[in-house]
Amino acid sequence: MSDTPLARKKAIIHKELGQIRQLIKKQYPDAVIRVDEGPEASARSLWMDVFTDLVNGEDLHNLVRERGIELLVEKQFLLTVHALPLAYLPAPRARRANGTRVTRERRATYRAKPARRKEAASS
Amino acid sequence: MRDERGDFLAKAREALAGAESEFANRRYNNAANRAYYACFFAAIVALLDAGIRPHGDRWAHDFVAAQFAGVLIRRRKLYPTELHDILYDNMRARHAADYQSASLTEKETKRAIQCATRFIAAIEMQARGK
Repeated sequence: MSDTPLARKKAIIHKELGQIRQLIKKQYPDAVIRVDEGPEASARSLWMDVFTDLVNGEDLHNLVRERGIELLVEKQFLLTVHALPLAYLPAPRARRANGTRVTRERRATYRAKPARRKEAASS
Repeated sequence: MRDERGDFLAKAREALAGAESEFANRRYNNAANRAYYACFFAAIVALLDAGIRPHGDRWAHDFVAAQFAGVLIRRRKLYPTELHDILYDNMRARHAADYQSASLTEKETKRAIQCATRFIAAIEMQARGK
């Protein structure tokens, strides 16, 4: 594991992060979860963005609020969880979450290879 | 002599007044930002009342939230547990208002302001009861 501030912070609350991920995935199996330092990085805080197709993120916040406060009280670590629509997912992850688009792209790559070889051989 | 507690209490009240004024003008992101800061400054007042100070010069958001929830609510039981939910939720609303492209709704902002009003009232009531 690299020794970046983000990696160090994740290591401090590794177990708790896993449990919170599980809790979210159990309720929202399609959720895409991203943990990073957030725009207000500090030594003892992390952001968790949860991308789901939920219209209202309030249920998700209710689900994880207690765990977030436990973390704050027991480890003095501030993890803020933000529910975001899937449309806000950054592009590469959005492609991965939508399996069909990735499959189509891969097939196109495989078909292109023999054609390129032929071109190389003829030139 | 500098009255740090009084200064932060004045800031908390000013932030709440700012939140109400921005809400009245339908600037919900601004209003949510100020509603959180009203709670943040009031939480600092509560920490000062309890003799808690930051390690350095600055009051960091994670330090204030952790000390308020862990020491004042869980350990010393000075305030109702509802207050750490308010501080946590208003912080999240402020993050959404400040850093996400989607705007907060009128309903979300109204709740943030109502919660901030309760938060400050609870801190002031505790201080009066001392």
